[in-house]
Amino acid sequence: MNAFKNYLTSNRTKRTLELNTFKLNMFKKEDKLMFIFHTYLPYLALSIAVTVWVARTLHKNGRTFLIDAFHGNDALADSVNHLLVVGFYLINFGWIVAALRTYQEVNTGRVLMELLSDKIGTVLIVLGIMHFLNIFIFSRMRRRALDRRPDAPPPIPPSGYLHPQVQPR
Amino acid sequence: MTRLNVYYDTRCGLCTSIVRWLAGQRQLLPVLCLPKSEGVDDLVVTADTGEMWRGDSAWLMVIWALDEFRDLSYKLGKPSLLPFARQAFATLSDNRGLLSQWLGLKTDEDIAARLRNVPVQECAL
Repeated sequence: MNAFKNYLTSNRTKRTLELNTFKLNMFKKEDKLMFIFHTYLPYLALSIAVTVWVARTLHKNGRTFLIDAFHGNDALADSVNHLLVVGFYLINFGWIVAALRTYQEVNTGRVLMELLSDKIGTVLIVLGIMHFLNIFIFSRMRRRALDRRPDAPPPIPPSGYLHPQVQPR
Repeated sequence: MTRLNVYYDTRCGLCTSIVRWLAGQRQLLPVLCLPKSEGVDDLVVTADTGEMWRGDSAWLMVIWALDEFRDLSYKLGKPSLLPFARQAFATLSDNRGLLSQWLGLKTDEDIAARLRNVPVQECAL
């Protein structure tokens, strides 16, 4: 090897075997694993925790909207609420695990933090969108129900009256 | 308000077809369709509370009575879409004779007259 001016040195502290042409980081595998581990785990833990929290919020507070939308029919409201929450969990957990993978080389604390914040940020934004979508669905169902009450007002005022109006007391 | 009366033009094929279609729709309050008086040229809708709507307002009331179109009736009643709705109804209403001809829509009278002219064979028995 010395014919090509390559030499091998061993570095005890850094635990590496270095060839001057390139660094053979044989013993650094655990460190790399540590970093990526410290990215994936907090990402999953935080994302799942926030998703569960938002889902429970929607489940609890959405129930009131739905009971109103279904004219007091508790069973139906609970059923639709549960279905919506299942869909919410599916979409969000699906997005969280699908977006987990990164091709970024995580070697330093800085990269770890940046990657973590990037991933968690996207998850929170998607959760926020889903949250507002759910609220929109709830309020639309309630609006439909309110518009169909027997005492719902006509869309436009009348052009006239057939006989003198009796003012209700 | 528990019921609506609609006074329509029985000599118009388009109106008659719409009345027939209305009968098959889910109504949130009962809609009774009656022939209009001679002197009136507008669609007229009255409620049992004594209120009355004419022309395009009447048309909005008719779709308001239907379950499927109630949301649409509220949207069209808002100031942003009302002029468009009025225009659409005015166009349909003014050209109803022509439209009936083009689409081949028959009034009850036409159908009755047609049926009277159908030769009926005497029963052999």
